[in-house]
Amino acid sequence: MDHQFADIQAACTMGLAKILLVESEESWASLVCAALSECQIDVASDADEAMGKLGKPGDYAAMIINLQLPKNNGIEILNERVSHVDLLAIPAIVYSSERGYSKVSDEAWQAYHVSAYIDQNELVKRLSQAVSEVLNASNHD
Amino acid sequence: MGHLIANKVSNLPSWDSSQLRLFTMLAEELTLPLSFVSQVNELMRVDSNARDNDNLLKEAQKQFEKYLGMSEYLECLNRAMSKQIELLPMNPLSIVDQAVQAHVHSLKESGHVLKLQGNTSALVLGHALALKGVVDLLLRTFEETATRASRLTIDVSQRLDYVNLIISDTKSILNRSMVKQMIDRSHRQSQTLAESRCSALPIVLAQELTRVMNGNLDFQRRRGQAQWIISLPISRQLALWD
Repeated sequence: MDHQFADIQAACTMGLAKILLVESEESWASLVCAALSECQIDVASDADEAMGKLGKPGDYAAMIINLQLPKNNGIEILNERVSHVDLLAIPAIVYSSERGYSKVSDEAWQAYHVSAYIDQNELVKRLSQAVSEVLNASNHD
Repeated sequence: MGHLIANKVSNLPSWDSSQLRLFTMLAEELTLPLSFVSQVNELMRVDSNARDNDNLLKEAQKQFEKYLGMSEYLECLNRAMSKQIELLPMNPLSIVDQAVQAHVHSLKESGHVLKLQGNTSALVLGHALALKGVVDLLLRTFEETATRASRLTIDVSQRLDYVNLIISDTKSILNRSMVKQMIDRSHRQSQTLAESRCSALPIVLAQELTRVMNGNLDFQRRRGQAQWIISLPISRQLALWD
């Protein structure tokens, strides 16, 4: 087990790291769950289901959102989140395979209160580090 | 010497625009599944627990089989476009049944129910792999766009000089404008519709495979159901069986 996994394990065993994953494809949801196997992950398959689960925002330590979703896309969840102060307290990590998103500036992501953007092709490489960073930052707040 | 090579290159058969378009679509569509398989491999390398994750292995296998099938149909289409396949009289029901069998397991796992019904013994003039491909690809579009467990039916019936295969789904979000958008976008770069994550490739491939069998593919929404309608001309040739 490498350093990043150990970090996540430490954060998760504190009993705080319940994460909401918004992903419509079973295959990618399985990959994220396996990559963050030490965390408790709740999967929502679309924006509506995600917003339903976020009814009790205190439940989640972070949320991970695929920006390409059926019906409403992930940006709509981010928009909805910006208008709810409770939800803004939950750090958001977003990912996508759409090349256009990789050109979005850090400032633009910050305007949506997004902690990290990850190219979907680098999910395994970068997700665990991004999650451990947001969990550690939340623990220090 | 350079002149000789130039001559040889110019003698190579060139692809027409639709072949090139499908090749480009396949290349683009393969990027994400290949990335998925590569990342599963990477995860298994760094985390020994992932090696025992049956779910992950099953998903990697599913991706692999899906695109293996797709490349088989693309190869069939390529042969058809090069006039290397022969259309023969065949019973559409038995071919459709073969395509359905390939989906039984995954449909059951997702809670979908599929019923095949037919009231015709008419033969169509077609190609077994091409027809199996059309049904397989279109069932896939419904599997990928069903919002929850749905009831799928395939109805095979004769209408004048055609046999119609109507594939219906009660829970697919697909509608006519989405299908049109996906096909239009397939001429440009982005082929996936954000709302559905269903890509245009299976639809365009099914459309082309239907066309090489002199048939027609259409989509409609009727009584709350999404429906693919495949029309194939009835064979006037005498078959050696039936």
